[in-house]
Amino acid sequence: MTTLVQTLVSGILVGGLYGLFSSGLTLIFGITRVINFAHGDFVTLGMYGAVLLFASAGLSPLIGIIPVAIISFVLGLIVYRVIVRRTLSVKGISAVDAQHGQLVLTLAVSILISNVLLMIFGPSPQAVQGVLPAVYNVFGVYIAQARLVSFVIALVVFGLLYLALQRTLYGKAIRATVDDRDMASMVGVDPNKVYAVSFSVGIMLTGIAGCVLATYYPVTPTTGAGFLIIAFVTVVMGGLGNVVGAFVAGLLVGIIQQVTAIYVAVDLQDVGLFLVFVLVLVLRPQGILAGRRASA
Amino acid sequence: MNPVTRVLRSTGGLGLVVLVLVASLPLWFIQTNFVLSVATLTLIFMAASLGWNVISGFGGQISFGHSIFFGLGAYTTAILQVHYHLNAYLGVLVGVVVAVALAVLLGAVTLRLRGIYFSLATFALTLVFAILTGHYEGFTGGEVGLTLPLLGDAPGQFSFENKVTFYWIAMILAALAFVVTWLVLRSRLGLQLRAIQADQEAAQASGVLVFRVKLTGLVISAVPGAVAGSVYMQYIGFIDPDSAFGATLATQIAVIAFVGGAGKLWGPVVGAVILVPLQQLLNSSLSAYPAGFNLVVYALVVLVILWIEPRGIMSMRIGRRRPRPPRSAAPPGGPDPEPASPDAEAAVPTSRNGG
Repeated sequence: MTTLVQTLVSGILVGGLYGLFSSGLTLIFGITRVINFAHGDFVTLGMYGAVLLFASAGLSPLIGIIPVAIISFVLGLIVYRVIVRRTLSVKGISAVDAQHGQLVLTLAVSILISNVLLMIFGPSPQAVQGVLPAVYNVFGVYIAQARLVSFVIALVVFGLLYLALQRTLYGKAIRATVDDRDMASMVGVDPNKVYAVSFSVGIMLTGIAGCVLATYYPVTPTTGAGFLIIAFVTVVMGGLGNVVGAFVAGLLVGIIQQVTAIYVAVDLQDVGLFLVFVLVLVLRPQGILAGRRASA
Repeated sequence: MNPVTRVLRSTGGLGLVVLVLVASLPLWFIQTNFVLSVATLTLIFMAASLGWNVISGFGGQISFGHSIFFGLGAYTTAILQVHYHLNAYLGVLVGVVVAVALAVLLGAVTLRLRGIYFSLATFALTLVFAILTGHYEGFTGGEVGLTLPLLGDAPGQFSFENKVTFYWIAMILAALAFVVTWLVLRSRLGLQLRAIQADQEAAQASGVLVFRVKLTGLVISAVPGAVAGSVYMQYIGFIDPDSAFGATLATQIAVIAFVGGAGKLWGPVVGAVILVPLQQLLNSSLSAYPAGFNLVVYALVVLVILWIEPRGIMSMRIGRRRPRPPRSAAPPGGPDPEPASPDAEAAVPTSRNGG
C-alpha cells in the first residue's frame, strides 16, 4: 500500500513538469499547427541552462528560472521567425507542403540542438546537486523537497498561463485563433503576432519546466528524445490543442510511467506509456477531456 | 520535342540510363573499400526511403518511424540465423512478413485518424521497439546487439566475400523499390493516395475508400524498408537497438526523402545520393573534432536546403526565365507517351500543388 501511494505521489510530482512542457507543445500546435519536433530539446536546453547558471554563477535553478525563461522566449521567437515563417513565405507553396516543411525543419533544429549540446557538454550526465536536498517523511511516504518544489512551480506557472489565456487581451486573441482563425483575423486579431507570441510562450514554458526539472533529474544531450515522446503522448491524451487537457494528461502520464517503472521494469516505463497512448488513439482520439472547450 | 528526347524524358528511359551508370560504377569510379561501402549504404537507405515515399510522399501520411520496418527486417533475419540456424534468404522473407503484419496493425490503429496521429504514433512506436529490443536480451542480444556468424563466401547463405556483390544486390534492391513506387504512382492507387494527401474529405466524397487506400499504401511502403534492413544486416553483419530503431535512423529515412522532394518519384534518389555520402564522410573525416560536430554539420545542411526550398531539391527552380519549372520539378510520373490523355498525370499534380 505504501509502495502504491509512493508510486502515485512520485508520478504526480514529476507529472506536473510533464504537463507544463506538454502544454507548451499543445499551445504551439493549437495555434500554429506546427508539430515541434525540437520540443524535447528545448526541455534539455532549459536543463543545461540551470546546470550552467548553477556551475558558473552559483545561481539556484529557482532563480535561474527568470533568465532561462527569457532566453527560451527569445529562442522560440527566433525559431519561429527564421524557420517556421519561412515555409509560409515560399511562393506557390501549398498548406500541406508548408506543414511538412515545418516538420522537417524543426526536426533538423532538434538534431542541431542536441549535437551542439553534445559538443559543448559531452555525453556524460550532469545535474544541479545539493539544491533542495531535504526529504520529507509523510506517514511512511518519502517526498523529496526538490520534486515537491518543482511541482509547485509547475502548478504556479501553469496557473499564470491559464489566467493569461483567460483574462488578458493577448490570451483572448490566442483562444479566438484556436477556435476559428479566419474569424479571429476578421475581427482584428493579427495572426502573425498571435502565432509568434504563442510559439515563443510555448517554448518558454518548456524551458522553465526543464530548468526546474534539473534540480533532481540528470541531463544528457539526448534526454530530449524521451521528453518528446512524453510530450507527444500527453498532448494526444489531453486532446490536441487543449492546454488544460495537456496539463491534466501530464499528471496521468507521470503516474503511468512510475507505475510501469515500479511494478514492471524501470527501463520499460516508456513502453507502458505507449500502450496507454494506443488505447487513447483507439478509444478517445479526441482526448480524455474532450467535450469541454478546446482552448483553455 | 522529338521522340528520342521524349523517351529519355519519360522516367523509364532516364531510369535505364541511371541504372546502367550506377551498375558500372565499380568498374570505373569506385576504387576504394570506403567508397564502395558508402555507395552500398546509399543504395540501401535509398530503397528504404523510396518505400517511405509511397505512404508519406504520395499519401501525405508522414511516417517518422519507418525504421520500424527496417529494424524488423534486420532483427528477423539476424534472430532466425543466430537462434534457429535458418537460411538467411528465408530470414529476408520472414522479415517482410513480420513487417507487413506490423504495418497492418499500426495502420488499423492510426490510419482512421488525422495524419498527425500517424506521425506521432510511428515515431513513438519505433522508440518503443528500441527499448523492447534492448530489454529482452536473451532473444535480441539487448543493448550489445546481435552479430551474425562469419560464414565467409557462402552465396547460399547470403554471405559474400567480395563486397562488390553486396553493392549490386543493394542496387537491384533500390531499382526494384524505384520500380514499385513508379508503378504505384502511375496506378489508380497512386492517384487515390495523392487525392487523399491533397484533400481527404474531397477524396472520400469522390468515392475513394480512404482507410483501405492508406492501409494498402502503408503495407507496400513497409516492404522495401524491411528488405533494406535485411540486406543491411547481411552486409554489416551486426545490429543493435539504436541502429535498427533509434531516432536517428527513424528520422533519417524521412529526411532523405524530404531533402530530395517528398512525393516526387526521384526525391528519395536525389536525397539519398546527397545525404548518405555526406553523413558517411562526416563520420569518418571529422573524427578529430568533438563528438556531435558531424551531426551539427548534417543538420545545418538539411536546414539550409529546406530553408531555401521546403519542398526539397526536386522543386528548386533553376533559372528564373522559364515560366514553367524545369523538368526535375515535372509531375513525378513524368509525361506520358500519349500526352493527350487527361488522366492521373495531368490532374493530380495541380491538386497537390494548389491544394
